[in-house]
Amino acid sequence: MNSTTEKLAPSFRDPSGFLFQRNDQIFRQVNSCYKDDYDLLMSCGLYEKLVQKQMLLPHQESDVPACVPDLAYKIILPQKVNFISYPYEWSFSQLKDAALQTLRIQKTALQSGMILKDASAYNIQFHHGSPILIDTLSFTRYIEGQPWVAYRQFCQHFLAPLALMSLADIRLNKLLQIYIDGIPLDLASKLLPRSSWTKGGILTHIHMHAYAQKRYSAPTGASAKKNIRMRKEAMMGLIESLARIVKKLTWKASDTDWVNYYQETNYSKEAFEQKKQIVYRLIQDLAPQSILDLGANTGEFSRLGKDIEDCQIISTDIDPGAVELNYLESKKAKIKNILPLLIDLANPSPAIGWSNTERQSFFRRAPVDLLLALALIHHLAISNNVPLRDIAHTFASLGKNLIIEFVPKEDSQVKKLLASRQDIFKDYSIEGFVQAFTHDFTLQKQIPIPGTCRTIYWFSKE
Amino acid sequence: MYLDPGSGSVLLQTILAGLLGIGVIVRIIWKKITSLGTKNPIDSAETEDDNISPDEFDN
Repeated sequence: MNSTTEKLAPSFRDPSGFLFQRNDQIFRQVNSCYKDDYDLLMSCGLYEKLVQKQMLLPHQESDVPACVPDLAYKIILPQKVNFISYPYEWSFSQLKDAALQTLRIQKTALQSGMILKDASAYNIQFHHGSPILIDTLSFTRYIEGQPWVAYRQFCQHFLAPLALMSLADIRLNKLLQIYIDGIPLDLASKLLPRSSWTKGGILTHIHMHAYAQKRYSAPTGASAKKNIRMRKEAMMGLIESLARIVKKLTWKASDTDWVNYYQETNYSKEAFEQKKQIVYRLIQDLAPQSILDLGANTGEFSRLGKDIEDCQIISTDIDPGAVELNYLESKKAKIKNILPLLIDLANPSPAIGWSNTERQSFFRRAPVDLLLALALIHHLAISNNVPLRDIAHTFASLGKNLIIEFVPKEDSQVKKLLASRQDIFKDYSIEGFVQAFTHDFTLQKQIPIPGTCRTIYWFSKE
Repeated sequence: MYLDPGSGSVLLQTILAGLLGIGVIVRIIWKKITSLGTKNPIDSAETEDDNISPDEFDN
């Protein structure tokens, strides 16, 4: 194996192939055992159809040496995905769109005589603003009569979390972070409200499904399986039924803390526009290739970078409602380079899965050219008690440049935070802030926002 | 197949799919009846096979 070649962790479960990285490029090795299915995918017209409809990540066959030659049939070079995100970081509509895309792909595959052999939410990524299947090796020849092997996985990865978010509590999507192969259906069944039993689709695909799993476990079920045949029309009926149920699940981003933030803030309309102008000019001058907006709320300031060529913007917030609105707005405006994600900066996504390497931590994926931290520092320093030096040090690990807004104690938002607690934050001042941040950064510019007591700072690591 | 489909999951989906499949067959027959005499049968067959109606899967 070449010294610069590294087999990547997330793809070890499926023996059909795996990902490897060589010289900053990510390749996929297709193993000999998957030869027939790969050739069928490429020759039956399905690959072209899916790529043309932007459902499957395009790839090129490559002649680079294989990573594990003994197993190799072909090496392919998939198009680069700018940022890998995980379902527990998605808003309700992001997960819903990913679920519907999976079903759409399944239906398209069935029409071409193939079927999805897995339905993992991790196989879907947001690429140029839309959900797309990234695992080229997910298809296999459809043999009429056989059931959908990935039905259970679809219910665990998509239907259960969506039902829980819609019918129980929006925050339950974080169960996906604990259960790497999707939410166990018996747990979903227990957590869903009683009223969900009256919804036909949830009753059958979650409650009855959970019961069937418990009641008909192997070996009795295994012997029954051999006699079961499922017609193609029945398979289509199942897929369409799942799509109808997913479509019916809804969630309105109206009850969370932050969605009305801009309406409730102490900014006047003019001051808000001034702040936007200041940040816009700084972003345009820097022309970064990647931006990470921390505490982005509904993405108003993330969108200031949307027209920079080839710039990927990760727009994170702790509030599921804000992330949902950010996604819906980006989708409506057809903005292709903003990826809204649900991230709690005080407890960002950890590395999870086998050996703690299957899914990377958020910070491992995060480093960018430009970090935006607007109207955020008081929440970290005062609400979360994080010392200013620690904030600066963490930010320095995330971005080469930092545009940050300092919100002093005189500001009404900070006064609110300090109203019910003792002020133990002696260093929380402009001087203390600049001193803390100049340990890790060089101060490039400071611009007061007219009509407010707040200031925008640009720091860089040079 | 590297996934375990789960015996209970297979049994349940087969029962559900059997019932749901009847709906699909009825719809296909109904489409064929309603399209008789109104469309070129070749165009109609292509549409049947190739098209995923946008409202069916769109969020």
